[in-house]
Amino acid sequence: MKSPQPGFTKNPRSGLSSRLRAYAATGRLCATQAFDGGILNVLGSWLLRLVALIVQLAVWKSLLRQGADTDGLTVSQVLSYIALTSMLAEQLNIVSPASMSFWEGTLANRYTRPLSVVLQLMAETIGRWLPHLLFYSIPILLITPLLGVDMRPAGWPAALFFLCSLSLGISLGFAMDLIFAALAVYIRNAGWMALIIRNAFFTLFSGALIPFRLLPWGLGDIFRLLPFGSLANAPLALYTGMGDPGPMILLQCFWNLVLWPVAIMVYRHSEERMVAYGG
Amino acid sequence: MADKAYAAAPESELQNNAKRFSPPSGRHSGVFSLLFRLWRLSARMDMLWLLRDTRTCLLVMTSDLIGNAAGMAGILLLSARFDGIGGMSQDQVLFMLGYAACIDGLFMLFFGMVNTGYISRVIGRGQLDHMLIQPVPLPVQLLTAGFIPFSGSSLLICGLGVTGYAAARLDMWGNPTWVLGMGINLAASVAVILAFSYIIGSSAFYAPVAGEEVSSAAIAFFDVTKRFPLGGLPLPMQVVFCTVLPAGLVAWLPTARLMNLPAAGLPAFFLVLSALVLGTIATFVFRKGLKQYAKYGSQRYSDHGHRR
Repeated sequence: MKSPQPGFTKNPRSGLSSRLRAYAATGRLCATQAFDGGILNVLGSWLLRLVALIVQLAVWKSLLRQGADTDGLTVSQVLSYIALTSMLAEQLNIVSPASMSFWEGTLANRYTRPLSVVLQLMAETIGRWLPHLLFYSIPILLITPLLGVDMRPAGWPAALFFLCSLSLGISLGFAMDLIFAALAVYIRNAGWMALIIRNAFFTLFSGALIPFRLLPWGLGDIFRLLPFGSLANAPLALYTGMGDPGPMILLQCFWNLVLWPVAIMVYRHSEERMVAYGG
Repeated sequence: MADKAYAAAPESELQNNAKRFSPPSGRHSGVFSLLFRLWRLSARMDMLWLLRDTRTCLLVMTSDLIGNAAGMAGILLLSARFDGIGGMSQDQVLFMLGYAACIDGLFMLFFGMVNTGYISRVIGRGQLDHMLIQPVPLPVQLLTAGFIPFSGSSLLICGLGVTGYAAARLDMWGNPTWVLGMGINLAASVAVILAFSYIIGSSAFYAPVAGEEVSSAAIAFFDVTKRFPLGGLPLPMQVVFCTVLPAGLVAWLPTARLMNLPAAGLPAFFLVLSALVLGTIATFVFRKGLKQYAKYGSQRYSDHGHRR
């Protein structure tokens, strides 16, 4: 689709503050949209995550307390790593509406608004995080002591490095999301499949399921170098004191510098191939 | 819209369809014959899709395989790292993961199309109307419409391969009676997931918009949790995870019993019993929901056919 307002062109709305207000309004709308289908819809997914977390914590606790060799990691470190993965699931695995809205045909609507399409997608994604953060992540943070998890960071420097690393991870996540969205455009009517493949890669290579230091055969050392490793393992490892901040943050910066230009290029290219019918 | 299409069809054609697809009353063989005819029809349509849109079809099969492999890989890597987990050796964990893949494969094979497994979508979107106007009993449609033996078989084949390989490493082929037990347990596992989906999904009869995706959440619960070996947990927790929060009910419990491992102190037939109980509850709840649907119908479609 040749768009009159491509995703990366300068938008005609003048004034930074008015543009920021527009994106904030987009985010706000998306935050409330989570409840459009009623509480039943969102409650189900939160309940599912909570139960999955409880099962994971129970399995890890039993495994680690049986005296398994954990490469120097403590039970507390592993449990807080696992709990944090559940709490920050949306921030560690960035899934913007790009791929699915292309599949549904609603991506076309975003090209009719006087705002950058990519920034709209980012504002929508951040907006959709808010209900999860307020009604899942924060309550889970408060009840984790009851589940036997100490959620305190490994120290104040670790907390600061974590925030820095998480920001870089989120930035990288958006870049990778754009690349996958472009892939969805190339494979046309199979955006759902692209999402499944992408989630599979994330599950396996990001460290969201298992801390890299607990992987066998030195696989963690390889996965750590991949861009997926910078999404989840880096911030989580820094928070729990499992890794050296310098190399991890430098690697995240490297992947951001490499993948953002690639993402912009492939997404721009994919815009020429977009076909929307529906919406 | 569907009503109009139905009305526009020649009467003789509708009568022919009704004759072909309605079971003769009081004859079970007629129902089975109808089931097999409709399975054959679904298989033919699936084959046509495979031939017409081979690229997308292969992509669907590949993505299913990759998604499942990634789910298995996490537990498998942990098992390799710690030389077995949850009271199971590496090969036993592999057997359990293969069994879990077989469950997903069977679910995909029989309920992978038109959301017959994800019933809340059908109800919530008002698509039950499309089924109710067909001259075929609703349960028969729900059992047959989702059958995709060509595009949906890759996962089952993969699961059977992994299970067979693990069974060989565990020397289980010396006494292949476990195959019968596995067949019964697999059917029960799929029935439990399906019943769970229908029980939770029936809430869409009462709240179509809010409940549209609840079946997905119910099925995702098993997707996320069923691969964890729970043998290392204290016994009360094992019981909780096989009953109240049935994370271990569909894969861990049956495979542990097939391998003669203790599992929550529950008997081998517990899964089959659970399937029967949950199936009965699902039938009751769904029929009750249907009565509600008969009264109020669905408000999801506007006069122009768009979803609200």
